[in-house]
Amino acid sequence: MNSVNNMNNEQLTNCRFLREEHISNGDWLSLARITYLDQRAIPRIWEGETGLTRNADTKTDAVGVIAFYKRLLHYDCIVLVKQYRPALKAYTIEMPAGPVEENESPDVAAMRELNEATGFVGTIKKIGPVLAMDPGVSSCSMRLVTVEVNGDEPKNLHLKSSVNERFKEPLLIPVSELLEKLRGMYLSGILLIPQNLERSNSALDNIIL
Amino acid sequence: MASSEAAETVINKETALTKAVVSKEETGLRHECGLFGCVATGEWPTQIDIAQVICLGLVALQHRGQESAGIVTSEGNNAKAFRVHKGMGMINSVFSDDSMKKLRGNLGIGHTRYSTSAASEEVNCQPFVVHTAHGALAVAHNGELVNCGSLRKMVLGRGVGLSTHSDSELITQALCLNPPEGEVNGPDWPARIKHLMQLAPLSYSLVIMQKDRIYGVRDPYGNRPLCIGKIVPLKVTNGDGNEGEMEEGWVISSESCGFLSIGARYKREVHPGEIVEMTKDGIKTIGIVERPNAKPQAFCIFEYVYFARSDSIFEGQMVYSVRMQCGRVLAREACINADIVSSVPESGTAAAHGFSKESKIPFAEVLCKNRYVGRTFIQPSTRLRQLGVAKKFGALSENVCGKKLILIDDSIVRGNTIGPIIKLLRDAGAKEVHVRVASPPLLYPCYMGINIPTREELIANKLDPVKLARHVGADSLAYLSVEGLVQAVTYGIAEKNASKVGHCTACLTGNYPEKLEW
Repeated sequence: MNSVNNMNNEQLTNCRFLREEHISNGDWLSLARITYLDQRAIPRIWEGETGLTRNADTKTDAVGVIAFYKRLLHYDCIVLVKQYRPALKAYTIEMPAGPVEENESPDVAAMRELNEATGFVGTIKKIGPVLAMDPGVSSCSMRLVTVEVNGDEPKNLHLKSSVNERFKEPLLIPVSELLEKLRGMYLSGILLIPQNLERSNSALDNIIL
Repeated sequence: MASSEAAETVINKETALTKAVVSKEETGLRHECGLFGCVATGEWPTQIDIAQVICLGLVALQHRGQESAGIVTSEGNNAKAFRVHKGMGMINSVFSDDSMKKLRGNLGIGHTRYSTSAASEEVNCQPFVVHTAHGALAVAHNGELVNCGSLRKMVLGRGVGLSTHSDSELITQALCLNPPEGEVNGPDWPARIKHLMQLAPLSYSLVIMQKDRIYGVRDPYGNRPLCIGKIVPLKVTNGDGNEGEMEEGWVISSESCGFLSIGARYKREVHPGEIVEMTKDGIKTIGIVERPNAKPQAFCIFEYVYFARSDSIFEGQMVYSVRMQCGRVLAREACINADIVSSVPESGTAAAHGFSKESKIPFAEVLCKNRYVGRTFIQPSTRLRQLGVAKKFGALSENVCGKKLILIDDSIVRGNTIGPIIKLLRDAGAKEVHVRVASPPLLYPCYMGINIPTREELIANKLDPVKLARHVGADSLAYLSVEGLVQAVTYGIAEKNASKVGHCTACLTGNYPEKLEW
């Protein structure tokens, strides 16, 4: 690593965080000015969003749930959520997601988010690695948790939506129809979250074309 | 009946002759067809995989026909286009993942076939789909029209062309004719169906699909079976009272045996002469056609004896229970001193248990069946032909050696298979072998959809029980009497009124429900 770009025979080190100072605080977000040292140990400035409840142990601020709803003799469905995102000034289609509460582990957070959005109780299949949500402007990290919901269980028979301040509408979309449905929504002005399309390599092309 | 799997060779045009030779030697009664239909209730589209449900329903009916299968589905709204997939062979080989994906829909019908009135060719695979002026129509048929000739003449006379000799196609085309009263508001399918039922009294169970609904029809004599089930969420199948909310779909099937495997609960039989309509709003009876001259019902008694799966329900009773009852009555009529009671697996086993319970003689298995022989191709040389039947069974020597045994079989048709089995048992050391047949002797052909051999081939027409015993090498042989069979079959039926219950025993007595055409 240190011998990258060594044309001038300089000594290069790794970048390092120095300090951050809060510029402004909102109700739940704050903007910080971050000072860090670059590879030549020169101090530099960055601006970023911080202040999300950060669980120091898991380093996970939020979880996203990839939930498959499976029922005997019914098509396998994926659980998605449609909601209004004020920051984007638009509706989006996302997977159920939300912040990890204090002292909550990612799997517990995922089950809770899924249950709040749909009323379902699922089983954890896989917890993914820590991912950066929006690395240019935010410190937020997320983990994707894959969950399977057994639709034959009486408690998972019906899709419920708990009403809260933020409008969230759960959707069950058959996996085989997913791209077609997403394309339809995209064309009607709803924005899509890229994680939904991780299954297909050229998914975005399929949507646009 | 020693071999219960009828289609023992690969269907292949070049070996059709070979097939005929093997069939004549080994099989007796051939199975007939199975019908299935399914509608999803509620707002369309639902997430029920209709194609999969129908496929599973047909697999449960595979014992009724292994020659070919077909599924036709509909989106519901689009009257013009159905999705069709048909082919020769068992359901596993006809339907692949791809074909199932193509059959997406909200309702559909399926059929599994063994040929009765038409040759074994792909064009005869059902369901038949025709395009009428009022949209597409798909029909699946179980049974055989007794007045096929005159109906065919009438349909051809009205200018309709037929591409096969199948009477199922004939039914489909007859449904496309305008009914005599005329149709004021467009096609009146219930009236057309009623008209057909008046023209053709026997025998058929039909499932007819039209755009967004399925009609289930049973001939006025109730000769072929047909029943209805309700699809409910899986863990609610014990029936708790809030049935109304739990309804997710309706299924209609020749037999009820497949219902549990698809999460459906048995509801009731389609009544003889009834036309039932199945839509996304539920089921409704839209008509009942009465029998001419108030004749009694004629449900095929051989469904109980041999054809149906043991777990199916007819007339409110389980088929296995009826077969056991036949064994009981047989024990009362024709018991004999012996060490053990046994059966030819698996068709005679229920009756053997009934016989054992009634006679107090213990039941023991004496034969081991090779499940895999039935599907292999058998060369028609003399030596191998003789081996054929014996190849399918082995004797359980320790159970047999030194014993006097009663061997129960559910029926004897040609008498070719029981002989080698008796020889096998004697070679294993059986002291005495007494054959008891849990049905009366087959004396007459069937024209209602069961392919019974000609009168000359039916062994009971040539040899009486004493001579037959000698012919097959048994120490004695006796049949269940016709009265005994009828008694066993009606034993568990709640309805005792003779005008409401009745069974067709034409193959046993020569009394046909309807006058035959020739």
